Amino acid sequence: MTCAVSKRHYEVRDAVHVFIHYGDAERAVIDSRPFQRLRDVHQLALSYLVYPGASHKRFEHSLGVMEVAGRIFDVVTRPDKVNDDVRDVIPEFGGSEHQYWRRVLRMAALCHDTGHLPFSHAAEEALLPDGWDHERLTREIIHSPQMAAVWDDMPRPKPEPDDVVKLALGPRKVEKLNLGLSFDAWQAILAEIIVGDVFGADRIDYLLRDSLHTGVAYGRFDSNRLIETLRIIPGAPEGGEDTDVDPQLGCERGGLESAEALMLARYFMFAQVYYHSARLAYNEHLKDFLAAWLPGGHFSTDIDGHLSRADSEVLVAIRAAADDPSADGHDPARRIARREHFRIGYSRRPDDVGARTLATEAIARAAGAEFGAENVRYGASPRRGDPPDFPVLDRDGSSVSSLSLSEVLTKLPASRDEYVLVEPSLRERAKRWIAEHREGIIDQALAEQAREEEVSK
Amino acid sequence: MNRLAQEAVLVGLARRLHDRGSWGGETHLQKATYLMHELLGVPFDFRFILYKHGPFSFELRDELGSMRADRLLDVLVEPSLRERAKRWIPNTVRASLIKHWPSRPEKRR
Repeated sequence: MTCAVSKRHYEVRDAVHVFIHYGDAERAVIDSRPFQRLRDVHQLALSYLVYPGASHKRFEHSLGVMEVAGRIFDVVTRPDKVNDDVRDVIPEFGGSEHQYWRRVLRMAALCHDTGHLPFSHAAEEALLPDGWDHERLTREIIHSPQMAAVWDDMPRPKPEPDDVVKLALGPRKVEKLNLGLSFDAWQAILAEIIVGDVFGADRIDYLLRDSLHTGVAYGRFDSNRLIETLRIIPGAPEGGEDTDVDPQLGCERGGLESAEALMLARYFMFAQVYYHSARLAYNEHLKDFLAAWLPGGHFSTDIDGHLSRADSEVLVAIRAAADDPSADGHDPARRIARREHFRIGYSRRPDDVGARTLATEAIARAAGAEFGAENVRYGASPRRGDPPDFPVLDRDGSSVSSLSLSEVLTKLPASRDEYVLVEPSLRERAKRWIAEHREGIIDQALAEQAREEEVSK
Repeated sequence: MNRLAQEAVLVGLARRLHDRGSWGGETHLQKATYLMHELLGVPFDFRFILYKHGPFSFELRDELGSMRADRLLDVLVEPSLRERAKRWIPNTVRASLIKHWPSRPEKRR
């Protein structure tokens, strides 16, 4: 480990941001083993089997998040962007506290994905012991002996590992993991700069990067305009209530359209890329393979074990298992290696709403009983539909809800995609059987749920 | 409570707030859900924490968004208001849910 004493600047070429700039402190984290491992974790799991260009890695994404987070920090703390009504939550520009939090923010941006398993999200829930997820692994890595040495050797200001954890995970994950860390208004804003739903550097970078590498134009939006118009703004009170709301990250009125474009980009990317039916099928095959291949069916939560495993080891094992019918996980490995992934047997219909939201899952279960559980899988995008409500600094200087100003944000499509995925050779038979039995299956599932609720009362 | 039963109670809550002229914003739903859990013993499956302005559940926030995606709740925005103008109101397809699951909280104890 080197102890950097001179203050040097480095830059690296980047496909999205052209150049990414950093200094000795960031370089120490970039050169660390946990960060270098991200060179071997695909950003979009097996999506490159659908979109051949999508072979980019979490390494360059994490560099991009650091770059974007730093730019947002510099914009929102610039003296001409700070109004009197929020001045008391923002450290003095250029002061030691300001410099400390800028460093912590960029470190947290670098570290935010270090806990990802091979192939990122694809199989996290099923393949980690209860109570573990990639965020908890990220927390353990930031506190690991490897990283302790990096933090200790760092030139001042030295980041407190718990501060890095807070900004890398954000309030909701910190609460979920019961870490006992609390956020003041300033720290909540900084976490929002990384993990926020609308203005988070993570989201800004992944939409632009994934769009570029997949070759789809949907994920593009005017990120430069958006970042330049970000502001820390007093929160608008909720209608009819005189509540005191902490300052939040929002945008000037002139940035609203670029925020709308970001939210639309996200919607398009979810439908076209992240939850593409073939990607969902590959996720299932990958999960099945890993469950069969991993000792005990689980990934290690030991930090050395985690760091020693990335995508390459898994890909080599998949290729070997695909060629050997007696190997553990041969069947899912063959499906991944030879494009024999499951196909759509049923997709959620527009009338599968209200109580009928259980339709697709119920059909998947019933089809599994009919055609064999090994031949049928259920795949879905997440249930999400809360329109983004953030403060906008209107032209008269008042703070206004984004939803009052934007019809686009209130009308963002909220429906989800759900699929019953079936073994390719059974596809036509399964489709006919599902069409014939669909209504009966749904009625029966509703009756079962109602009965279950009666019993539990 | 299973998911649909829990959603039926939340739809009922949003409807009663709306019928009685209450604002029905997220803060109202968060606090009312907490009180129903603590005082009426409604077995919601949400973890509440003491957040900036009292009891709050991230899981309930997600659930409200999910219920909008499933057409059980709608978001109503009052454009003339300069404040946070978002209210949660029941969607008309709620009837298909209420048919199977009565929404009165006292039946859920």
